[in-house]
Amino acid sequence: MIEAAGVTKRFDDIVAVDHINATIRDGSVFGLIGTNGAGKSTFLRLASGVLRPDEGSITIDGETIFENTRAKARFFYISDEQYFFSNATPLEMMEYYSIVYPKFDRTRFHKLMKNFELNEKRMINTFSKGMKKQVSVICGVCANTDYLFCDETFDGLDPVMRQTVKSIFANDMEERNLTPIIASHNLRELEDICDHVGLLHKGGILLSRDLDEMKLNIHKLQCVLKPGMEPEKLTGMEIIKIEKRGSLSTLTVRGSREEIEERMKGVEPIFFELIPLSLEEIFISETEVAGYDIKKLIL
Amino acid sequence: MISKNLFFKLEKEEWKRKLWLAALAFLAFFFALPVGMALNLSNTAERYDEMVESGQIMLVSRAESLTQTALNYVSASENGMMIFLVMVSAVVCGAASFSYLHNKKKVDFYHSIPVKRPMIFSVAFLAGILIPAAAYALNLLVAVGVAAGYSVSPGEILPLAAEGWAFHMLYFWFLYSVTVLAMMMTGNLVVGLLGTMVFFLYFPALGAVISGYFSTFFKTYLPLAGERRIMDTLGRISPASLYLMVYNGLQSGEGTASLIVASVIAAAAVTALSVLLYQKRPSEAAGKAMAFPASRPVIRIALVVLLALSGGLFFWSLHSANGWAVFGVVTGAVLCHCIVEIIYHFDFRKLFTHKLQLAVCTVASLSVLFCFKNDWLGYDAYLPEADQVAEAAIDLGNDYWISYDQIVRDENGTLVRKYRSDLDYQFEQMKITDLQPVLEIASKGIEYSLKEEREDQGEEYWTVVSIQYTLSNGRKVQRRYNMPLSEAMDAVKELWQNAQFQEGKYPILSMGAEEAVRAEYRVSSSGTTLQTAAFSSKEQVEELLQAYQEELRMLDIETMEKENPVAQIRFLNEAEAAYADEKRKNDEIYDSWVQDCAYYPIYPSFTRTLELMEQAGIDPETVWDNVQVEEITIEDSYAVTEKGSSDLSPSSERYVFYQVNFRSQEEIEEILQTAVLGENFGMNWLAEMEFPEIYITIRNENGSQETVSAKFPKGEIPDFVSQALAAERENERQ
Repeated sequence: MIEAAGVTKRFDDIVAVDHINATIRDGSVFGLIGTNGAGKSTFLRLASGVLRPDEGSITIDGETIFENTRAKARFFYISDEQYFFSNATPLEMMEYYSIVYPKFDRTRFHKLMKNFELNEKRMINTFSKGMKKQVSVICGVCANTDYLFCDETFDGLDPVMRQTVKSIFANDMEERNLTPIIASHNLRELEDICDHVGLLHKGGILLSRDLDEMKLNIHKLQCVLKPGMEPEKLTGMEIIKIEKRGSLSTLTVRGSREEIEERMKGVEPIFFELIPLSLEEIFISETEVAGYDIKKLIL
Repeated sequence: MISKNLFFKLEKEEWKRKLWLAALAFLAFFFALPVGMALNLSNTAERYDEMVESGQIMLVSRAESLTQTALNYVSASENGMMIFLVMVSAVVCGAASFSYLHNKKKVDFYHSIPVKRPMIFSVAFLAGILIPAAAYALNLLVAVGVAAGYSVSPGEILPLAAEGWAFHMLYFWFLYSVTVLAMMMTGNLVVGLLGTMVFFLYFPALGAVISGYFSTFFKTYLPLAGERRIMDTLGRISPASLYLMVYNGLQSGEGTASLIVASVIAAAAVTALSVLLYQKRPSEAAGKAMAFPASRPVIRIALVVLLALSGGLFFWSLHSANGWAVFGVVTGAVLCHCIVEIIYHFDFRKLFTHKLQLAVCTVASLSVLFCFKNDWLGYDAYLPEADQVAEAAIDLGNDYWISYDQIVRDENGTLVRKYRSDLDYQFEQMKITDLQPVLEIASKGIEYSLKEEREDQGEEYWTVVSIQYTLSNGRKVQRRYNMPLSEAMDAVKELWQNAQFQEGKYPILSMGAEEAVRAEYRVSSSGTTLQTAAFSSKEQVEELLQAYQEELRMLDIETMEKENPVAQIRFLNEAEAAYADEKRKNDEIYDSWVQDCAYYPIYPSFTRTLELMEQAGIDPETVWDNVQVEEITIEDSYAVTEKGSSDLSPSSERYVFYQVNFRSQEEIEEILQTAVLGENFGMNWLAEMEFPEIYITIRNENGSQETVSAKFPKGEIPDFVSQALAAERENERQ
């Protein structure tokens, strides 16, 4: 388990990460979401031991990460612009990673390179941006570490590759309890893979929750009420937001499906329907509740 | 064990990635060593064969000459090209090994992998040293092979080659570690290279500026010795100049062991500091100018003060006025401050981010400027108390005829002239403990140095006096005074009879009787020798040397005021005699040492010396007996005042020269009896001569003509000459 406690990092006068507290459970996918400059990359660089926190600590199972090779051997960090040695081939990078990550799976590396149709002996600097991302992901998963830190890794991958990478992650999570920590500014990209999300904004964490928990506890309710009945007067459920278009009201309501359905049946509406919320909608709602104008923050 | 294995595996990987550096280093050392060795040996062989063909006597065999060339080429002290190569490769390797610290992508990569930072540092650091070391060693072996092709035994040159390799690699390590330190302290490659330049050049530059301030503003500053001391001290703080200093020391055979030990300690300390900084260095420094904010003001202030002082000196040298000096200081400070700030922030708008620091630096630099200019510390007025001084050395700056050069054999066995500075020799050899006359002269010197305006009060013998005090605590203090010796004549007289002064002034007094193998006597002037003799018998030379040394010691100021030398003599040791013989044999008669050096004057009062020569049939009084003097021309001049062409230059003075010729034998004889040859009175700084020049035309046995110059001593112009000159002057005026 990775635990960040009061982690702060400043670059001169800029507070890049401001007293962040977060817990990343093993075996789940942690999505780190936020706009550009929110502090996602800085958080990952702190977590990977590149940067030393000015305040607070980040630990893996209680061990601090900075200059701790035992802790650092448990993760592989794929930065937003992964570095490859000049004129190096994927094979040469594999050789290097095999030295520093003793559990590096060479057989799987060759297999994945073949599956991805990447030439192991071609110089990486002749690869496209997406191909470089693929090489870095392959190196990352083959390092066989417990955690995989991915900074904007899906950016630049085509949809097919994105799905392939997601399925590799899912497979590794299943087989060896891999914990990917994925930072991205794109909510839609993470929606179908994340178990837990942390939303960063201006260096601070706005919220950190299980996605399922959020999805099960918040719903969009579309209804047409009996004449003379206003949605604001509905009781017995926590209404976050109300939008009205003619007689059709759209409400964002907190609570389980069963609870909401039972309550709605009680008021005998002309029509009502419960629609699941997208991750983006959940965030908009949740952050609006927290007092942020989220539309300005998220895509 | 795992850690060791990991280290070697990472080192191997590092070498793979630095193949380009290995190739570059190999190429550079290939051209510098095997190719250079082949060229040198080929040149030596060719030159040797040419010299043999031209009939020159060779003191060493061809094989010895080639061996010596090969030895020089691989040795630590004789191949200057290695210095350049080592300096350049140290900077290139240092920058190449740690430039990744300036790139965020690379830093993220290296610092996220499970390898401790000291190991990452060690791997990169070691590869940066081992690659050029291997390239150097490999090419050195090839160069030894090349030498073997010229029949030079590898066994003979390998030890020296290994010594040279160790020496140059030591300084490679030092320069490389300083470059690494600069890379460590910066976050940008260009700034890192600029930082390297600062580390290499700052202190020598500071030394040059301080030296410039001393020589510009202090009237009693002794440039040579003083500059060298300042440069020596500050130069040792720069790895590049320390390297050059030790190299020059090895070349000249000076003791350099302590400097080499200091270099090893310094290199180790800089390496340790680099490791420490690497661990402290924040990864986010990549891309910034400076990695450690605390170092910013230190470097900024150091550079701003240096540039401000340089600016002040530069503008003072263009126009010696306070206003221009202040302008120079302010301009230098502002420009340097702005440039440093732009580099620090990579932003033109941050020019004046630290105005207070700029103001403090400018005020401090102005204070230094005026401290020197107004001599607030009393440098020029410095006169130690006698009890503070252990010994002193003084050069009165008036006997330019004394030669301090030596004839020595070089590594090829060839006799060569080795320059020795007159001041260096005297400051080293002269140890005067009776300080009274020295302090008296210094006191007069101070008086004249501090005078703002000088009025001619009939002072005589203006000269530059240089003094070195060795204080009781071992510190050496040097001063120079532009002064007339007539104002301290009593002290000069006392000094002239001081044995310690004499020993330090005249190298001949240190010559042992067993050293001298030949004495050469001559009377000459204007390059024409009128009388010459050589004494080679051991007893004769010893007796002459002893007599001359004794009489030179006895020579006092009163005698020099009354007499002028009548001839010259020199005593040669074995090397000097062989050198003179070789030059004469090879018809190199115009060699300046053979012609003029090491001669000493013989005064008429040197009766024992003259007597010994007379016993050998040599008498300076008979110098004209065997010379056919055809004519004597005496040239004089008078001043004419001419009206100027404008109000700005109302009048000017020009000299009109006129001549009188004397051909009658009686007149010629009378003139020759009184005249003193130019080279003879030139050896007596107290000689007072009349203005008219005497040109004596002589006819040689082969029928050619030569002219020698002479002058009349003060008040000794024969009457008939004075009358003839007066009559000619009248004629000219009419």
